[in-house]
Amino acid sequence: MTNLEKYNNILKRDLKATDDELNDETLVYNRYPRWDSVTHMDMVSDLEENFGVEFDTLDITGFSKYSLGIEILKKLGVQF
Amino acid sequence: MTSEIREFPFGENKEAKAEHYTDRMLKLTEYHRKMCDDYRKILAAAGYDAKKVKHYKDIPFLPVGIFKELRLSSIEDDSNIKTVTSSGTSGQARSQIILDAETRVQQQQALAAIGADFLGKKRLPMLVIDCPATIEKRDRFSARTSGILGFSIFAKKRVFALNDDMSLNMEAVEEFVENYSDGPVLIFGFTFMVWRYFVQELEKQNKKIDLPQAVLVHGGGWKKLISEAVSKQEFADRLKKTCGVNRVMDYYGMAEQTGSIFMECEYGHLHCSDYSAVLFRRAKDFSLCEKGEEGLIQVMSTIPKSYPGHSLLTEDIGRMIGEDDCPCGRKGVYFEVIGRAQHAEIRGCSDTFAAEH
Repeated sequence: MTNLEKYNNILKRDLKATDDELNDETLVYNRYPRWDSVTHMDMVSDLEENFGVEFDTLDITGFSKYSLGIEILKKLGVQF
Repeated sequence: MTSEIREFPFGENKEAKAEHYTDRMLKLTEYHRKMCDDYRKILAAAGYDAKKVKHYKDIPFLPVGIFKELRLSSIEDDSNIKTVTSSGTSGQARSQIILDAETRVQQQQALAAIGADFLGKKRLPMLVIDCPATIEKRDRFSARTSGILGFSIFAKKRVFALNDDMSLNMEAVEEFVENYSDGPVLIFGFTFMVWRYFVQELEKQNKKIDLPQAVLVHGGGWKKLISEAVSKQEFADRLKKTCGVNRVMDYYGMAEQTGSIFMECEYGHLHCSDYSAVLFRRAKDFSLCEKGEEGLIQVMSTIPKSYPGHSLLTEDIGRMIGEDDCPCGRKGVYFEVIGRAQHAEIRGCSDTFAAEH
């Protein structure tokens, strides 16, 4: 499984999102119905665990739409 | 009108702030005037004239109590809002604050930047002095809920210290201590809850825990504790005795303007960030206080967009200690909160408001 697939699977599972929804227009924090602050923290934990990284406080609030999660993981050393 | 979130949100001195903050407040006032009917009527009745605003001090304010009477909203689309309600003492009406996605995100980013400056960017294990049930309702929530959810961005692992019946969950607390006491941790809770359900309960059960590297962050006011004659010093001493906590950090904030958070530095001063402004006004005529003089606290924030809460007169009394020269190095106003205004003063203030508008 590629890291992108891994990333997509975590978002799909935690947000109960479909493949078509994996884009910046749809998956926006606080706008996508199931992406609220509680789910947000669960998702961050899952990403941290699966990729072996640690988000800092500003990464947490920076992760506000689909592609930004990938950007933060890249910054933390994950290859995409 | 999005506020740029910077890593160090305490960099602006008095002159730098006056320059752009006035402009942003004017724009925000104009925006709400356009979007919110009730707000427009209030401004009209008050004779508001944008041309007369030379400094952000001249921007009109709403008394916080108004959110108990009116549901003020500046959004067209009601589909994705959350309503925060103030804690409100029993028998009193509760404030209703309308938050849309954008305002919520901005609030959280401001909180992250401010909090990270005081607590560090690294997330820590967090012991919440509250019960899990507090965060279960997600559409309408109390100030307590939004406080816990907001501060959760600083948490690596979150453990609730209380059961849903507010009894102390000693098992959870002891497990937390066992796992994390050898490193830095956060303890977060509302002042009164920390005192009543944590400190006093540990004492009652004759239990002691040891979290020497903990920072306790608490807010929500001393009102209830002052009536029990608990001073700030006493609070810190008893926390040290029961939990080994060496650093206690108070913060000031309110449900009516959640993006404004004022945290206490190591010198015991509450700091106003670049997103906010804080002013002190005399209750008798709302004129501005001198430095050091006690008055009603007015808070301003560039964040509220979904409701006209960018300039509010609170019912709290405080005083400015200084500006731009706190030994901690943060620029901006630093101050202290002294307590709540007497009922008569608050009454007086809304009467005046009613008479004026």
